[in-house]
Amino acid sequence: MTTKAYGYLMGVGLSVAMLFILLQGDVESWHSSGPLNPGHEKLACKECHIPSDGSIRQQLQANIQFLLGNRKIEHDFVFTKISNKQCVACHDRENDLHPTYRFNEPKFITVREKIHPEYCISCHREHSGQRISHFSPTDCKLCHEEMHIEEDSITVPHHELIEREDWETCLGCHDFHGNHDMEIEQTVGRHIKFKKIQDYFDTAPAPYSGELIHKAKESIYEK
Amino acid sequence: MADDQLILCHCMEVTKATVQEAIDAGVSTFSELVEKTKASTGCGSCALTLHEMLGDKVEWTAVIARKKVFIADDINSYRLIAADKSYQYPKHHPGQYILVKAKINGQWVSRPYAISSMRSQLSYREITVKKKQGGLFTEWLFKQKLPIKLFISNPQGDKIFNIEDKSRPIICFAGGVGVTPVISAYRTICNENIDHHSFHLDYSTTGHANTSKQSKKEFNKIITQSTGASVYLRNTLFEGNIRFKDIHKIVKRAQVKTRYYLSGPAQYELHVQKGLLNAGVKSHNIYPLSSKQLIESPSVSQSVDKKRTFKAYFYIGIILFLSFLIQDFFNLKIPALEHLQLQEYYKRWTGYGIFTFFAFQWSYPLIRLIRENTRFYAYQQLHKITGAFAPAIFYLHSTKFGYAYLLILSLGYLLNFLLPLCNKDNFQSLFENPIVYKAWLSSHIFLSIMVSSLMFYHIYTAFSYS
Repeated sequence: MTTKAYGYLMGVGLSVAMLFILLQGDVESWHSSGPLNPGHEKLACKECHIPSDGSIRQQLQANIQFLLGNRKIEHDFVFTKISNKQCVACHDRENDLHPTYRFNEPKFITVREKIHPEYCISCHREHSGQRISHFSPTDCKLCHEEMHIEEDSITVPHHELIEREDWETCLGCHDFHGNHDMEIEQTVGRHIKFKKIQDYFDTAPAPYSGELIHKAKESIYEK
Repeated sequence: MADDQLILCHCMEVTKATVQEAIDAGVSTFSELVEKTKASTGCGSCALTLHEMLGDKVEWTAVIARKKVFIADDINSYRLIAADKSYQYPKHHPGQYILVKAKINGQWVSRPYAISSMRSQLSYREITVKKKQGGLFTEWLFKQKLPIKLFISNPQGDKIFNIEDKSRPIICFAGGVGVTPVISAYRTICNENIDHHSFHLDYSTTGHANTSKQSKKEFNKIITQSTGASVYLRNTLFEGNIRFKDIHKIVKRAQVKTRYYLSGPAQYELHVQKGLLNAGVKSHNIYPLSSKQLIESPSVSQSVDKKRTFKAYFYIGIILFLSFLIQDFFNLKIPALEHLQLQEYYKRWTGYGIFTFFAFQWSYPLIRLIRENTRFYAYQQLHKITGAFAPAIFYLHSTKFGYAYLLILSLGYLLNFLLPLCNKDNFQSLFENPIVYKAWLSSHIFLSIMVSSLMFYHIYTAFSYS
């Protein structure tokens, strides 16, 4: 047998074995595109990746028709596309300070174009291994630049912080979704420093005092 | 450098001073001089100079170079016509050379040049000259405007092509401008309708791209006109220098009685000689035209091979690979690119890009499977150069190594880029060992299949979990 034949034989043999193992149901975690975000570590793939309608043959057929222009929309292949639906299945609650649906209002068109706050995954991209995958302090500016509070109670009034462009202080006192049962700090200077916020966005525990008001469901199947 | 320190016999590295010392010590005949100094025991092109130094009469013919033919960059052919128009050149044998003499800066300088005109060309002699950087004679010659006045000797040298003996096939190995005497042989065969049953030329050159259309055309004409003549153009820019393996292949197909003629730079002739002896060719069947004949069986002295030179694509590949590692290790990310790489359409299009890259790289073994032709080497070169850009192509699709099966895919992909980068072109001496080559080739094929199947799996997964 020639050297090349050895190479081909070995390659084909091991590839078949490898694909066979990968396509087995119990090695799902090997398909992951990245580590699960904090709090999601124990979630099974099927919690978010829900089988799409139809058989693979039908799905392929539908998408070929789509490519040929005979069908108006693509059909999800194997699993349905991830949307807010999967997130709110566990995280939906009342009194969210920044619920995604609010950003669908017409006045938020510019901010929608810029950072897409109407989608959970714009900030909380899954498989990034972080709480927040995208955030820039100036994101607050996109909506709050014109803000003026009558009888402002904090030591340095909000409009002054805005004039100073001190956007890093926002999350030092306010929790974006408002899910921590805490007193809001009134003294600018005693607020949580941005570095700590960044660590929290990464993997560190919450720097905000107080318990969580709403606890997410542990599974979408939980009643 | 003083004139007497000049090397007179390049084959044996004998200086003019050494020869002069011997003459001063009383040596008066040519044979004694040769025996004492060993000069002229190689190619013999300095014999005439030795005769001159001994005071023997050497016959010089005044000629005028009236025509210059551009062959390639730094290579010209000169047609030398005798000043006395009635003069007819004596016939020469292909393989022979003439000494060309000219007065440069008040000094007579002579150099041997192989004749490239055919045997029956009696109205002029043609020589083909390569301009040598810093070479006194060639730099002078290239600067001259036509017509140039020169003196030439009668044909010299007993190392000639035996084209009459049709019972024995001929294989020539020519390197660079060393192809000149072979051209003379080809022209003679073609012109005199010598139906030589096998005359093959393996011609190593870096200059294909710059070779003039005219000379290419002539080559093709000769090959198509004469039966049994064949040429293999070995573009050393693409394929690297001729290897022992290539020589083995040629010898394997040849008959035992084949004569092997070698013509080229000393180092080239030496290397091919070693390769031929290594392949089992008897030394009496090897005729180096311009260097000493090797008799002894070659030991492991393959010093020519040990010189390590890396190909340009090797440097490109290594730089791209290191850049990729550095940007990932130090997290030197471009925000705009990171953002793009999260976009579905971008992922798809760059994915198609990688797919096309794979398909292109796979087309090479397919072409090879179908047919081994001369253009195959160009494909091989393209395969190597394209492969060197693998890290850049990968970077466009993903600046990270990935996670889980993607990590395996990325590592496999980069390993399958690094391994072929360290190939026989770049690590010649290592690859003289056939086991290394076999392990290398089978690993490359194996990895290619593994990475390709993982790529298909990735396409399936990427579309499934979007």
